[in-house]
Amino acid sequence: MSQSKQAFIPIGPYHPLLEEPEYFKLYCDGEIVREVVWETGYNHRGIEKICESKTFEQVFYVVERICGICSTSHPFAYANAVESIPGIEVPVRAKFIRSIVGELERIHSHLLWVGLAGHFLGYNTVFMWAWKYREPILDMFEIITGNRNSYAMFTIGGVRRDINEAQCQQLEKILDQLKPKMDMLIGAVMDDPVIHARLKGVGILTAQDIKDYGAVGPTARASGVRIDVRRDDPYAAYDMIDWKVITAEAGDVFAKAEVRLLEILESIKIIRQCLQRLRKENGGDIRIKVKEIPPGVGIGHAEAPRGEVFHYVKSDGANRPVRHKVRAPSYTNIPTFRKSCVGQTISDAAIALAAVDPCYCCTERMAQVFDYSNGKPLFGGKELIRLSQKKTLDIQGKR
Amino acid sequence: MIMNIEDLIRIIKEKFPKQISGTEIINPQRLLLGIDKKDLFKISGFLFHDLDCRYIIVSAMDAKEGFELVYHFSHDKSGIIINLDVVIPHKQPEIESLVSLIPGIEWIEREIHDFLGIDFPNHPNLQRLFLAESWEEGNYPYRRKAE
Repeated sequence: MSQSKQAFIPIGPYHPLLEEPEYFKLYCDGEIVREVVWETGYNHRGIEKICESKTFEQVFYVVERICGICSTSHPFAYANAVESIPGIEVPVRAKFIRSIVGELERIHSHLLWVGLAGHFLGYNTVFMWAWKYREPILDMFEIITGNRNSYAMFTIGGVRRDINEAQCQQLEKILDQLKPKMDMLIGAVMDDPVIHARLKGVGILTAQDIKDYGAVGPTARASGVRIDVRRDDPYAAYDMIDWKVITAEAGDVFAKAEVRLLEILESIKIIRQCLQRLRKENGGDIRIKVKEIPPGVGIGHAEAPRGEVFHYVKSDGANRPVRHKVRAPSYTNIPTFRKSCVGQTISDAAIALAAVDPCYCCTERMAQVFDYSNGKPLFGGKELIRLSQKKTLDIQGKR
Repeated sequence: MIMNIEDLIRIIKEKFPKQISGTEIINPQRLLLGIDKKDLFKISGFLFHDLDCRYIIVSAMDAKEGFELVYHFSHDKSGIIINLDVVIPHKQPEIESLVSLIPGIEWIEREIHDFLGIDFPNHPNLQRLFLAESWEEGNYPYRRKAE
């Protein structure tokens, strides 16, 4: 069928489900999506250029604001990059604290995604649960950093705040309360026959697709590609503790949900071990003083909730970077839509789009479905969500 | 067998004895190889297919000696990041597109085209990625100001 007879469906630039501005043009043949075109640039803030005008120390607070959800991932990768130029080894205590912050962030980010995915499927109970259990995680952040988001924990040579014995006990207590609730949530999602019906076989990405697009994180691991920066190129405390990389083979949306949910349990395991080590080695430095960054190239990466965050920093010996390149995981995960959406129905396209947990910065988006022939709106964002939720209800009705 | 950085250098140099103009071991996990732009496609293909490296991203900057492009690949089996450093002259800012080799590289080539005005011959869709359509033609925000 020629493109002129296909219905053209713009999703974006603003969309109530996902947080940020982007614009997908879906070309549909009846219910089936045949082609996806993507546009962005609605919120480009020129952060790389801004960083070149800041000192190495100040850059932490700029890159922390790249992402509102995983606000520690960028400082983490930047610290790995900039510390590799002079070859600094941070104190052991700082390594454990860094890992704790990184893993807490993974838990809250994954819960956020599970909640949104649940809402999108018409499972508002999942949404309520996931976001309710995300709150104690944010409380934990508040205990150790003073903030629910944008923690400002990282600095060159270590971290800015210690976690004391009393805080360790508080955190362990919250984790004890959280673990059974996580088990319940994970069981409820993974064993639900309707969620199976909605997510299995939808938006499949093969291992070859992952390689072609350079996709990372849970998106890659759900397609059986065992990559995880924490294991492949260990940083912080990840080579000092016992944990495992979670993978799934199917490559569909369900597999991505499975990987994220099971990673929550791994993260709890990692945090517990880090806290134990902190309590055991009570005391010690949390940062070392770094006078200057010599000329050279620093390349660092870190495993964010959505996948590898990559930072490239070039120094000429002055107090600021001459070049700072940032690659967020969504930059390589989003183009996989072209593979995961084509051939899906419109009501599945939205969850396939959401499956890689796309992240740009933080605003709203909107979906509208237009009639290609006369340009009149057929569906708005709410209708598109309703369409997805209705499909779940239909499945439940048929059962 | 777990490869270390010397093994990787040996394998790459055996395949491309003359094409690698500079080898810098930044640290045991980071390798920087200086290459000429005419060899980029072949060497990238070798890394991507034969060594099963993962494409990460391309960093581009406007340096004094020309536009410097660093192609980052990750050898995930060993965790080593291999960086191909290519410098292209200011007067002729173009370098072959790798989209036919690595489909995921499409966006970053468009981004570099937006911000630095570098052309990528054989790119299937070299339209603007981040800059608005109304942005002035020939004004490249990441280029250094003429001194």
